[in-house]
Amino acid sequence: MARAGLRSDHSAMSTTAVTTAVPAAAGAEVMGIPRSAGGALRRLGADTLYLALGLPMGILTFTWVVTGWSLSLALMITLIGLPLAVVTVIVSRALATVERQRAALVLGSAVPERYRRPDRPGIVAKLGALLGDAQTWKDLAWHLLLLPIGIAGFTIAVTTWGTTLGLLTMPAWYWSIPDPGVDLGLFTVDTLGEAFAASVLGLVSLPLTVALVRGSAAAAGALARALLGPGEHALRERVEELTVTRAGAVDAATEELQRIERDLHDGAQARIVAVAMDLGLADQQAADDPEGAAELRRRAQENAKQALVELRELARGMRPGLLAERGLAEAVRALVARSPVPASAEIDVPGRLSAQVETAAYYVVAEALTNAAKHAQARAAVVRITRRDDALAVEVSDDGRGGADASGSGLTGLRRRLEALDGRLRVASPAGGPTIVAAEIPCAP
Amino acid sequence: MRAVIAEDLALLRDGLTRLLEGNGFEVVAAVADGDALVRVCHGHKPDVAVVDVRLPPTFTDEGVRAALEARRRVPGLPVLVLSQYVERTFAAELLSDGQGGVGYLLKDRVADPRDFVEAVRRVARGGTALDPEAVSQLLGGRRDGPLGELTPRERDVLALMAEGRSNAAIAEKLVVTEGAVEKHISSILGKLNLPPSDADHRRVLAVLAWLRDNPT
Repeated sequence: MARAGLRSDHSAMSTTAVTTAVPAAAGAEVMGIPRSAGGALRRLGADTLYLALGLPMGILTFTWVVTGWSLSLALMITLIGLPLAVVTVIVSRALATVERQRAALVLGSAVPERYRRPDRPGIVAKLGALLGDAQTWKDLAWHLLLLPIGIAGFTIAVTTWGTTLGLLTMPAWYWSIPDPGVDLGLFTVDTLGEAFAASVLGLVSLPLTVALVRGSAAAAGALARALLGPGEHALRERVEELTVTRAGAVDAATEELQRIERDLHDGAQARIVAVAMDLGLADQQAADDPEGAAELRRRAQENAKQALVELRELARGMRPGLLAERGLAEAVRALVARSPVPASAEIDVPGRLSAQVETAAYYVVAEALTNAAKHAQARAAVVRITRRDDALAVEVSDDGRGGADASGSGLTGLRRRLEALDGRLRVASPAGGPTIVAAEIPCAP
Repeated sequence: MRAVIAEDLALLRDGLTRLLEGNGFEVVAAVADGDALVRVCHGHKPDVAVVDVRLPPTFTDEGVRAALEARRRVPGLPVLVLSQYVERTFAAELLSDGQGGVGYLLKDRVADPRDFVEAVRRVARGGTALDPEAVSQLLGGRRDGPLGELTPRERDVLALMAEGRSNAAIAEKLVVTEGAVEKHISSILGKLNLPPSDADHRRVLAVLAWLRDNPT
C-alpha cells in the first residue's frame, strides 16, 4: 500500500503540467495526421497494436474486477471482505497504470495519473483516500468497458486487415483454392486476371481499413483519456493544493530571511561594530593609557575572529558548501560528525539528486539534530536516508524526552519547504520520547 | 555628564559604556529593553539617553517608541537613537515634537569616537545630531523647487546644517571662514523662505520641518 501511495504522489507531481496529452512525436505529426510515409506506417502499426492488445487486456481487467468485486462484496459481512476490496483496488490501479501507458500508443504520451493522497496518517485516512477517490470508480468503469471495446477493436483490426491484405495478395494464392475459386460476391476469382482485379479492390479497401483502424483506435484512446485521466475536479484540487503550498513556501522563505537578518544583526554585524568601537577608543587612549589601548585592540581582534566564525556558520547554514560539491551523503555525514548529540548515519543514496531535494533533505537532518540537542536533551540520534524508486525517505530519531512542538517555527518551516516539493513531514514525539522526524520527498527515478 | 544606555546586545552595551566613560561621561544605567529605559530615565533624569532602535520584545522600532515615551515622561530629555539602518520615518518621528535634544545616528558612527562623543554632547546640550545618511535621504536627489535654486556649496552647507552642526563646525568641515558659512546660511534660509535664527537647533528644526513638509 505504501508503494501505491508513493507512486501516486510522484506521478501527481510529474504530471501537473500535462493536462492535455500532447503526442510525443509532435515533430512527425500535425493533429494526428502523419507528415511522412514512415510516420504513417508507424501510426498505423501503433493503432493496430493498440486495438489488438485491447482484447487480452480487456479479458484480464474484466475478469479481475468482476471476480475481485463480487468476492469482496459477497464477503463484506465477514472480516476478509474489506481487505479483499483493498487488494482488488490496488491491483486495479496497477492495471489502470498499465492501461495509461498503453494509451500512449494512440495518444502519443501516457495518460496522466492522479490519485487522491491520504491527508492524514492512519489506516482510516488511507482507506478513505482509496475508496473515496472518484478515480477508483472511473478506473473500474474503464476495466469493465475494456472487454467490449477490446472485442470490437480486435474484430475491426483483424477483419479489415484480413480482408485488405487478402485482396492485395490474391494473385499469390488464388490458385491454391480448389474450384469454384474465391467467391467475392461481386465475382469469383479463378484466373490471374480476376486475381489482379481483386488486388485493385484491395487497393480501394486499404484507405477504408486505415480510416477504420485509426478511427476506432482514436475513439478508444479518447475514452481511455476521459476515464483514466484526471478530471477537472482533480485538477482544481491540485491547483488549490499548489496555491497553498506555494504560499507556504514563500512564507518559509520570508521567515528564513528574517532569521538570517536577525542572526546577522545580533551576530557578525554587532561584533564588527564592537571591533570598530574598540579600535576607535584604543586610538583615542593610545597616548594616555597604552596598556588599556592594547587591551582594547586585543579584544577587537577577538571579536573580529568571532565575527568571521559567525559569518562562516551563517553562510554554511544558507547552502552548505559540501552539499553542493559532494552531495547529500557527504554533507549529512559532516552534519552528523558536528552534531552536539552523538549521532550515527545510515545513508543509502546512490548518485546525486536534484539540488532542491538534497537541500530539503539536508535541512530535515540539520533541524532534527539541532532539536535533539537543544530541546530533547537526547543522548543519541540516528539518521537514516534511503532512496526508494521514486522518493527519498529521511528519518531522524533520538532518545530524548520527546514532546516536540510540530507547529513550532522550525518544523513548520521544514514542512512548508517539503510541501513545496510535494513531500511530507511526519513528526512523532510523545512526551517522554522518543522523537522521530520522518520526511518523504518525491524525486524522479 | 550623566548618561543612560539602552542596548540589548551585551557586547555593544559594554562597548558603549566603555566609550562614554572613557570620554568623561558617567553611565548611571545600562539597560537591555524599552520598559527599563523609560524607568531609568524617569528615576535618574540623565543628561542624555543613548538608545538602540531595535530592542526586545518586538525587535522592530521598540527603541524609537521607548525614546518617545521617555521624552513624554521627562520633557526635554535629550535622546540619541542608534540604528543599524537609517529610516527617514524614524528621524521624522523623533523630530516631530519640535523640541531639541534629539539625535539619530547610524550605529557605525561609534567607530569614530571623537565625532560620536561630540554628537552625544551636542544632543545633551539640546542640539541635534542627524546622521549624514538620514540627511541625504531627506534631501534626496531633489533638484526641483527652492532646493534646485541652491548652489552646490549651499547644498553642502544645508546638509551639514541639517546634521545639526554649528557654524564653527561647518566652517571647519568645509575649510572656509565662519563668516562665509553665515553668508551661505542666510542665503539658504532666504531661498527656502525660512526666518533667520541664531540658535543652531531651532535652525535645524526649521530646515527639517521644511524638508518634511515639502516632500519630493
